[in-house]
Amino acid sequence: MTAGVLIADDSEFMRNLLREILDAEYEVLGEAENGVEAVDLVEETDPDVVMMDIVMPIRDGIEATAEIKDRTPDTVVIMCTSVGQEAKMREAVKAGADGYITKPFQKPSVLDAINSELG
Amino acid sequence: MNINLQTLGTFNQLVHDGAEQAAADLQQLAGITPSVEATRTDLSTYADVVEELSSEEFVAVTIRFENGLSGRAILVFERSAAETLTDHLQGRDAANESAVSEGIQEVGNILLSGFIDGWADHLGRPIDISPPTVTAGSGESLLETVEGEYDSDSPLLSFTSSLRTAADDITGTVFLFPERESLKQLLSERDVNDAAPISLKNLQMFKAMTQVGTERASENVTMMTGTETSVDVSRVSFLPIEQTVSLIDDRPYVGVVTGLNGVPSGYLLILFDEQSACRLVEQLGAGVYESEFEPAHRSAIEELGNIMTSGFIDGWANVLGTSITHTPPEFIHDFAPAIMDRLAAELAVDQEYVFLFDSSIETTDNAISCEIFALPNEAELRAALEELDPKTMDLDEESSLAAAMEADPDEFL
Repeated sequence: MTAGVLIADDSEFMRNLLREILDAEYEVLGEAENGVEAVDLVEETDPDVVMMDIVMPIRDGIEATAEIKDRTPDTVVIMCTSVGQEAKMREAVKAGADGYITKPFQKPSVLDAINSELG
Repeated sequence: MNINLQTLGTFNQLVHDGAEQAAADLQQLAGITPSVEATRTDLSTYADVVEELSSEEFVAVTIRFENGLSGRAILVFERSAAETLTDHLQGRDAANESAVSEGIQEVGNILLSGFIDGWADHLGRPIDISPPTVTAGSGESLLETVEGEYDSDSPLLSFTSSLRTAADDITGTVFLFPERESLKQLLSERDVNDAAPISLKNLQMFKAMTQVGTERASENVTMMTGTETSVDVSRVSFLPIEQTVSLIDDRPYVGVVTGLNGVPSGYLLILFDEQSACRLVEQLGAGVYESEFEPAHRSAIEELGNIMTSGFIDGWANVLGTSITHTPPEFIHDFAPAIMDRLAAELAVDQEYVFLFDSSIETTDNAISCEIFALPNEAELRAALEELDPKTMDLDEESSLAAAMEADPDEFL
């Protein structure tokens, strides 16, 4: 069965880019523009994986990750962000992030990150 | 050497006043009316100055000053500007090489003397001046009069002011290079009423971190566009906030502004000239630019700005052991002074002067050029500088600094 992926990023450009990369191998279940929408869409679509940006308006990706992990601990959350700060990486892991890739990324690094989490 | 920012502000103002005096002198001498552009204090190196003066042919007048304050003052004109100026001087013919040299020597002598007189008056003691020397050329040959006096890579605090005439396109720049020991003594003599002075060494380290951050941002542009890039220049200046507006030309620019929260807070401005931005959106795969920046173009530039911002500031946070968050980048398309003016107005609520970190990135095919301006809150930059410990890394070894600025998520997962 094809795994379902949710994309959470405030940038339309980045959502389109990720969708292009993911479409061939996974089912993209939806796109969220902020952390609040991401939490709601996880509830609605029950994805296997969430590709989560950190810097987003309304609610950032770390807060959204904590809430998603609290509600559905089995949902894999991979931070997909431009932020390369040690302190933020610690915060993300503390919130429950399973993976962390930094932008700009190449297609293989995105697919590898998902595949290694899904086994 | 530690520097007190209030004193540095006073010195900067003295240089600006000197430039105003020079403009008045030039009006009397040549009948032209220049305006004084931004006066800034740069933390650079002799090698940086040589590079800055390597782009074309210049004519320079150098004087040496000593006793009350020791160092060199250099007035530099582009070759074409020197010739135009010579034409304005009574009885001089710019077609005659020696007339240009003699004319510029005369102008330089009067202007630079006026400059130094202002310092002498302020310090309340005489400063002796040597006869002027004229040189022509670019880079090191232009600066042969000061060769060997400054270490190529040691921090150099220089004061720079530019005079510009609109009608004749004459730009003259005055560089004031106080000798390190002389400046150190002068700084130690001043009354210190404001907060603790900042360490020049720590500021130098922060500048080096900015250089590494710019290189990261540059690599990000390469990855996203597929075009090789290089960092053109990286500079840190201290200047009155209202003068930041005149540091960039008055063409329209496209880019992003991002608010920084943390230590230091402030703003990061990433600007592309319009032509670069048009090429950029296409290279990013956001569609062809036709007559305006469509939502897809804006989104692409915002995302590139987001990634470049992180590349630029993450290293600061990693070395400081803190986090610096940033707001989602806001797309901007406006004349550069209007963009800068808006940020300056917001910073001016808390401070009169600003440290401006200015970097340029260019693609190797010259198709895309980008300016990055970081304007940190002064008090928080001061706090950040106090946290730095340059002893923990070898500043001469760029890889050591770059490694300290890098974080690996696998260490935490």
